[in-house]
Amino acid sequence: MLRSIIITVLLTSGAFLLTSRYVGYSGAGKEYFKKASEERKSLRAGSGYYSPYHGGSGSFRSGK
Amino acid sequence: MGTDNKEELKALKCPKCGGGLSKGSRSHYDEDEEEEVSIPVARCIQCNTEYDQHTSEYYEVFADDLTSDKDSTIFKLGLKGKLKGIEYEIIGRLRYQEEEEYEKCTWDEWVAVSGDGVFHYFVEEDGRIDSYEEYIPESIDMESNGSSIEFEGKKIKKSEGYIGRIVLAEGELPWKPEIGEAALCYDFKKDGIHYTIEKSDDEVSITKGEKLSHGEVIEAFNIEGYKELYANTLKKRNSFKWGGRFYIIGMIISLMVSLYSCFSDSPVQGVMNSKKVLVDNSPVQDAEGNVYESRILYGPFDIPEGNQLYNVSVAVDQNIQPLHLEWQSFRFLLINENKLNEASGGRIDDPVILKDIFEDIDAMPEPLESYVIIGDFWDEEGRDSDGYWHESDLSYDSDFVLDESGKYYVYMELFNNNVKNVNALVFSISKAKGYRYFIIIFFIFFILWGISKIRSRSYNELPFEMSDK
Repeated sequence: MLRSIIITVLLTSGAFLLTSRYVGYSGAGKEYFKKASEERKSLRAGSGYYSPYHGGSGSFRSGK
Repeated sequence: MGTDNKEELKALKCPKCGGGLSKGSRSHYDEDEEEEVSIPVARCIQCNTEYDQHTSEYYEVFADDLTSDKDSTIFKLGLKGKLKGIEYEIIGRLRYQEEEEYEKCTWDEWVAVSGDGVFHYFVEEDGRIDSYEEYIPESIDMESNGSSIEFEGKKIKKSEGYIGRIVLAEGELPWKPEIGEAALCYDFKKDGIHYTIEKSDDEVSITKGEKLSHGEVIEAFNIEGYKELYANTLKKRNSFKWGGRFYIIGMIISLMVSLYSCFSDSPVQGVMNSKKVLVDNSPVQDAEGNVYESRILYGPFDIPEGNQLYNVSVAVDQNIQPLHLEWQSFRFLLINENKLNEASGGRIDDPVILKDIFEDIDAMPEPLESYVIIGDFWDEEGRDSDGYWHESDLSYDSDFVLDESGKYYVYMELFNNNVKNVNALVFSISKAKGYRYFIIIFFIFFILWGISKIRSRSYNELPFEMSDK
């Protein structure tokens, strides 16, 4: 029974901690700048950074 | 003992040709499973005659399989004890197998004799013990009508009856049972009391009974070796039961937090109030043909809190212009006003400057945007083996943590295979609360609760099955 209490408390407090620190969510702002800057540096000169999708739908039914 | 062996040898002969009987199987169409299944049968090795579960020969051949656990019982022959003021001695045992079952489905009837010479029956089945005594009903009509029995005014459907076949008989029984002997049984409850009507070839016996706990039996028959094991088993089961209760509390907490978080989004106001259409359905040639590109700048709007979780939802507003059998791609860029000011040299309202900035936005060494989302919407129809289908995906959402509050713009790029109204794509930004980890722990608690529930019923230190709680 004590083990169940410990597990319940640990899991619940773990979920609160991860949620309050936004662990696992994408970061916008400084975190994004850092990541995007590194990606741009790694691209070859003349290569496009963004290539918009022009191929039509991504429906699973069409198999695309 | 010698007599028993002779009987066994005699029983294992085919009544038709005298050949030996052996265990076999045959395929049978199971209506519940809706497929052919293999079922056990006894077979004569000489004339190949099959004996199924409706014959005595079947039970003679399969008796060893059906009695392999005959010693895993709380009662033993010769056991003496005092239950509710009456002394009993266990003098015999009958094990029955339910005829309709191909798998082992047995119960033990322990025959006891009380101090005053009356027979009493203790039934052990699936970890449950019932104590039965002979009962003479005020009225009974076995042939009340074709389909039911009348027992003291209560109708018992004959279709609820089942046949038990004797697979083991031992001890000093008041009659001489045969292996495979059948008894038609009806179990029912009346006024909270359990009754059993047992009908064999030549007699009908009626017993009434009550459930006994293993603790009562162990105490009554003073079975020392089991007292501690029984106490430990109950203690552990209780501990698992309490553990399960804490996991339920965990489930409730995680569910409540998830629901609260899910419904407590607060929208950022005015995100689409102001917009500049920089490019409106400009045709662009690409490898797959002509597409139409639009570029719109929304804002500025105020994001009041930094270091917060936000949710962006982008969708096609079908009321403005439906997306029908076509596709649309979008790129959503969240841009801080200060950054845009810096890039435009303070001329943030000049559409020509803005157009130039966004023309080269991907070529900048440092990103202008604080966050980017890319997505596609589509609407399709077709035919496959199930017939016509029509499907679409017209909304998209994404969560992100924004570190800085302040004024922001949204730069939206749209690509369509047809000319589209730029107002048909709408978006919203909301301050959100995360709950994904609470959903995860909800399922973990659910699994732990399930395990505790099973363990609270199945944990057992005793050498026999016990269903006591």
